[in-house]
Amino acid sequence: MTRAWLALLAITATTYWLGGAQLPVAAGSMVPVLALCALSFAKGLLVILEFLELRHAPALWRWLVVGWLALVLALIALAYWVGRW
Amino acid sequence: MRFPAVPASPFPAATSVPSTAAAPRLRGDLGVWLVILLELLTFAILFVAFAFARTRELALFNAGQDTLNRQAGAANTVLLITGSWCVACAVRAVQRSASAAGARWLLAALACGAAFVAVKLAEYAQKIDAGVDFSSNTFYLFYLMLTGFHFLHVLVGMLALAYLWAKTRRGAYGAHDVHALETGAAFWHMVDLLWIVLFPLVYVMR
Repeated sequence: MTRAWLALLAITATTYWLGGAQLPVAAGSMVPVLALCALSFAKGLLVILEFLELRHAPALWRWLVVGWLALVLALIALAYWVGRW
Repeated sequence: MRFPAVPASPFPAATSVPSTAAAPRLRGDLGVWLVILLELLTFAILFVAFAFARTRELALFNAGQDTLNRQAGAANTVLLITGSWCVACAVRAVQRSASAAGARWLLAALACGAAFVAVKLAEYAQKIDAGVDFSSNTFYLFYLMLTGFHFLHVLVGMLALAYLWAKTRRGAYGAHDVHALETGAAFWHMVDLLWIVLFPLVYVMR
């Protein structure tokens, strides 16, 4: 439980740092967006499995909530990709 | 979901061996879980609408994002995940019938919620001073709608936590009954989960 919390804090720090960092990627690269989505997914997964205890819930409930997170982040990434056209 | 009591068996001797493997179980009330799914869907629509609306007004959304206080957003993320951790620890404590410890964890979670509210109100005050309102532009409309709707959920979650804290302090819950506490905890974790998508989307991503 405490390990999940510490991991969440570390990921939050990385998310914040990504907001101000000048990454060595081409202008308009999708890398920062995908990195933020991946970090958000990792954080959400920790909350879903550890805090909400869906790890020990019937599989349908676990997949409904994990599926929600994956779908929302995928659609956000798609919109940011479209915005780069 | 509270499972119905197992009907009395005509073969008591055969059922007296306790099962060692815990069956999969959804923690909290089924009705509240359905509300949680509904909230997740509602916010999903708002998140995706924000992302696609941005593609039409990129410069406006980027300029709007630059006016947001990213430090305040990150601080609020830390407060919500810490509050969520406190509530999860409270549930674990009460499952062991350690009510006093459970109540202390709930109080710590409430303090995190109150600090979130204070930071958010300070952010709103800055925006109001700068003359921002719902009609300013599409970015601020989304910003105020998304964060405002989430803010209301934090307030409702805090009301639930305060009620659960008062009951836990009096020893109303324990290993025999953690149902209400698990239900309130599930709602609070949902509020945290929503912010985990909201913060990078509105404050950071571009």
